Amino acid sequence: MRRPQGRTLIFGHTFEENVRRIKLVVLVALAVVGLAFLGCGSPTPKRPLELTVLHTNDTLGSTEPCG
Amino acid sequence: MKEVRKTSENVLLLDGGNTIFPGDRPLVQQTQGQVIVEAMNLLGYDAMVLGSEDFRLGLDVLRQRMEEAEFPILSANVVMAGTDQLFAAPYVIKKIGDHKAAIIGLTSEEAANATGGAIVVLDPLEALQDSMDEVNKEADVVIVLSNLGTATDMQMAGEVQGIDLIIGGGSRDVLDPPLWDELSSTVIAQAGYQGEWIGVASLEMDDQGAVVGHKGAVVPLTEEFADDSEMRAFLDQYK
Repeated sequence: MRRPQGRTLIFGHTFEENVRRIKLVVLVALAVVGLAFLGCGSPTPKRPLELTVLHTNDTLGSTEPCG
Repeated sequence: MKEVRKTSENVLLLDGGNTIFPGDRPLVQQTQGQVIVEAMNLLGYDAMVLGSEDFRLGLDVLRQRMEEAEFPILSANVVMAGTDQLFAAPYVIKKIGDHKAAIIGLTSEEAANATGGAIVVLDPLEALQDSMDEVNKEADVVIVLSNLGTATDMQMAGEVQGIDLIIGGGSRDVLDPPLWDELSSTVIAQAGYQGEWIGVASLEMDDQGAVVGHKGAVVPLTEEFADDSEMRAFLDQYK
């Protein structure tokens, strides 16, 4: 592959090519951290539950005031 | 209800049926149960089951009341005669905290007599098992709204695995405290009749939705409880 003329080569690539590669690595790393933070890939543990159920039945149309 | 909602984070308000039918109440007769549905909307009910008495309104009126309700009116075992089409939604699933609770409705067989054969009431335990097979894919808490009476509720707790709470109706029992089926870890509650009591069932569940502790009571609505001003104003508009 022909390299751009007049550019400094580092590890056999131009400066711009290395910057692009570093950006890509940083983006992938951020995505992995983000997914881990959101809990993707493993189920979020549930917390115990305290549930209160208020209930009525057989009211048969009662609209009388209580008492 | 308002007090409990203020002090508790996860609260459901449920009804075990035979509630819309007017009985001998003139205002409810005059409105064909509409005033009751509007009052239940105001109270913020989460679900109710169709009781056999509710079918005495007739199917057309009952459908109208169901449309007006801002909460699901359930029945997993009533189908239109000659079809396999359910008359109402069989269940609803509600998210509570990190959990999902399925609320399934079951109607007693007397409903068929009230409609002159327009509906067929299926075996409630078979219908329940069908619904359980569906809701178990999604929900980890199962509540059955049963209009079948306490004897059948006890049988149900013993025969159908995985029910956490049965809110009963139909037999007008004051279960204070609620019954507890040790083998199946099912709480069975019912709160009397004619609006004279309200039941309170508190369940403590582990991270998998299994009942690990429970307490409950049926509270008589004596004159110690003042009329709610909002409800009084609502009823006064019908005078």
